[in-house]
Amino acid sequence: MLFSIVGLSLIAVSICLILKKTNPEFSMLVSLVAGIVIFAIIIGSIYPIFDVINKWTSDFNLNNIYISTVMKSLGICYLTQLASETCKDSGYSAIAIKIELTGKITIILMALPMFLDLMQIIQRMVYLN
Amino acid sequence: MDVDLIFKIAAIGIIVAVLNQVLVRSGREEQAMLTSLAGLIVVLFIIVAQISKLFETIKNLFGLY
Repeated sequence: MLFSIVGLSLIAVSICLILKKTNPEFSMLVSLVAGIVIFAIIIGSIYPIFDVINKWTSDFNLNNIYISTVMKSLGICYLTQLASETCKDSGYSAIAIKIELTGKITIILMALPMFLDLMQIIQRMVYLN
Repeated sequence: MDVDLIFKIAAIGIIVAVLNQVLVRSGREEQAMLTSLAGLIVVLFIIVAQISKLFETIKNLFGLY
């Protein structure tokens, strides 16, 4: 599976280079589609990882909220990086930074309840000493 | 979601580039610009469909509702 991804990405890069001379907008679109296709190929091997993680949380009866928050932030990171790297490749790093800022804010908003729990735990610890 | 999607878009790009050159050489710059615009719009339609599928997959995978 790795070899197909390596071959496919090299072909996609060569196509992007061919198209870069004549019309650069198509080279950006080809690189975006290549990213999407490679993610579609990889997705088949991501599911077992999540199954194992869900099994762990149920076995060691960890709190499910924390694990799901981590998973959500993973998804947000992936999407943000896909968009911002595409923008950086085509030379517009200003827009890329805006996308990354949005991703960071989304993750912080999502992780706020965890901060509150952390504060309570710390407060309990300090109270006991 | 298949691999020949990349080659389809590359083919459209190359055809639009060749058409652009032919039209520019024959003196019709406006048609050349319009042709490349049309090619770009066609590719954008294809890509928007794929991107919506990608977003659906990521929502289901990571539980982002």
